[in-house]
Amino acid sequence: MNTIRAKLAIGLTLCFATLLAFGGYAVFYSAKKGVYQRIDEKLQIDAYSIMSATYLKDDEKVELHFTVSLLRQFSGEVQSAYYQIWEGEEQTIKKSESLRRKELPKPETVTRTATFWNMRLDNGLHCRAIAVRYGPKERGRDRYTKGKEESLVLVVAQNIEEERAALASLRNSLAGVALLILVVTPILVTLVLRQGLSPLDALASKTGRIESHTLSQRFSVEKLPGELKPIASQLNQLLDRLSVSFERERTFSADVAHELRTPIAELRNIAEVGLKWKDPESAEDYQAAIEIATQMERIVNQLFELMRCESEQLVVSKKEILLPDFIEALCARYAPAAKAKGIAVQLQVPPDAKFESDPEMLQRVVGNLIDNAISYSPAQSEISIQFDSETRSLQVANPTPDLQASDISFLFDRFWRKDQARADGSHSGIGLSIAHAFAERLGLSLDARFEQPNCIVFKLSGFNLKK
Amino acid sequence: MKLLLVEDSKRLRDSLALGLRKSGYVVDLTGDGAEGYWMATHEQYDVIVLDIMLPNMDGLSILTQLREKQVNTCILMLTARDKVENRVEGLSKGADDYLVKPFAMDELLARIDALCRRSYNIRASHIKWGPVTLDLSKRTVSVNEAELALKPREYRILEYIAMRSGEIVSKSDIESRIYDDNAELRSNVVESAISSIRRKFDAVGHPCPIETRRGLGYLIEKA
Repeated sequence: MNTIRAKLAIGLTLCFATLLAFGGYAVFYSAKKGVYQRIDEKLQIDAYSIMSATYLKDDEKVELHFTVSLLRQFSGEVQSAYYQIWEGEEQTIKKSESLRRKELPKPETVTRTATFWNMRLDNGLHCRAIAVRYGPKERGRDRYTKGKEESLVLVVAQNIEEERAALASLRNSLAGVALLILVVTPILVTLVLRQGLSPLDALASKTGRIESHTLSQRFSVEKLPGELKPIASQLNQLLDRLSVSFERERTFSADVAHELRTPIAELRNIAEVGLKWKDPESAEDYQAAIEIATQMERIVNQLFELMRCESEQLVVSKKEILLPDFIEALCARYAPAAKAKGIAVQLQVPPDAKFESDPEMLQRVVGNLIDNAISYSPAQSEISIQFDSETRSLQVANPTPDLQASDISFLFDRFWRKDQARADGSHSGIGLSIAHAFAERLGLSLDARFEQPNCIVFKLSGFNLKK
Repeated sequence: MKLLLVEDSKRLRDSLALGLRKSGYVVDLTGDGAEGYWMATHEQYDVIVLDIMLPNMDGLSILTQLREKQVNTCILMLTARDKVENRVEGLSKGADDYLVKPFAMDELLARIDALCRRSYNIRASHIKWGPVTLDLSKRTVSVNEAELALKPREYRILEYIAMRSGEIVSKSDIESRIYDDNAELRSNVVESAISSIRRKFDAVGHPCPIETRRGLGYLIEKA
């Protein structure tokens, strides 16, 4: 399963199992080492006791002077310790009663330094043994017989069945506990992970429940663990941006529907009334129908233009533009409309100002500004178009008695009009949105401000003038 | 029947007014919200057709203020907003009906007819006095199933007095409800129309249900 929970559960279980295996082995190894160390110490003591009790008699025979406790230890009744002494390489000269008829194995090489090893008696008993080469003491003197210092080989063995059984029991107990822990660990890890990851689950669940109509929901960052706070903060910011986009889309769709519904209603009504009650004045109706169709066509074309610009389908084809010629040509295009309202246009453009831009797209931007200025200025007023070489910006200013400073932020919104009720359908409220989008596409910026009461200035800046 | 049409789109307003007038309604028009509100509070209308997005005063504000002033004229909201919450908002503020643009003229007429009937507390689409039947939906009058050839305005006069049956309807009331402001009103235009209606009833051998109350007006007794 490709989930964090599964990966963590498997990883933690494996880590725990590895630690458990090493820990178990360490416990068992140290216990075993301790047990064998104690046995070896005892064997060493026993061996030195026997060595100290070995004397050479006058007849050159070896005899053992055991203490009672030593005798008892190696007696046939106790059967827990054994010894055997060889003289030369093969001849057994002494062995413990506990051995009875059995023999202790003698290592091939025995030195004065004691060696330890594990072995099994003929009857299958497990023993720990020590072997050492030594010599008998002179009788009556506490010193080794000269020339016989390495004449004897002693092997002492200790029955270790109990210790082995105890170690086996410890090993089995450890294995049992390890198995139990291995079974329980995944369950515990899962429970702990579930508890630990519950804020993540809650976050995922809340995120999953977010729909287009519940974008106002936000995550409570303060209540979340530190690791999730940045994620929740980013999600909140994303939701903010999504809300704005969705709201804009919703408004846009509603506006499109509204803008198109009204002319469609007009068209339909004119047609129905014309059909039902044929009237000598119907020529006027047909004229109205054409105007409505033109208005709808204009809205659709503007929407397509805006869509193409925003989806970057429009290719910018830059050419050198001489600004005075460009502006004068545009003013000439809008001169009839200005004249009809008695509006004077003041031009202040440096005669040598030239730059590179896409003439078609720039016409859509500046043309929209001039068209707006003429449409929304009162009759018999004056609009001004000037280029500021210092700020490299083109400014279109016109008086607007209806607008207020608070309207500035809405000016470039699609379908925004000061008066939402349309009087004649000549402006759909997309023109400035198109101008703004086209300006951005050309690498220019378009903004608006009030310079004095009732006078709005549109500023198109970012021109790279050529010398 | 007299209607007030408040719609900011001039083309739609003119076209609707033409259709409504051709259907026999007297229509007052305006494209301005504030003016529409003034007209609605200073004139008696049977139905007000009200757009929502209007200059100077929006349709919902007009609706709210009219209801606050106890103006109970039936109001049909006419708008391009088609969301359920928009309709609910309009209806909850006191609108009697809601029609989304674009709409069929016949549907608008049917809804206005229904609202007119509602304003006179008439639920059925027929009014009967013995063998005389006034079909409000087909706008016909018949006696013993023989249809009378009434002119549209004659029908409207009969319909208006019939809707207010049991009440004396004054001549000036009929003039204001049935005759447009710009129609050429002669002093005896109502009397002439009623005489014509009576002659058409006489022609089929049945007395006209309209009675004259001298100095007061006209009356149709309740069936």
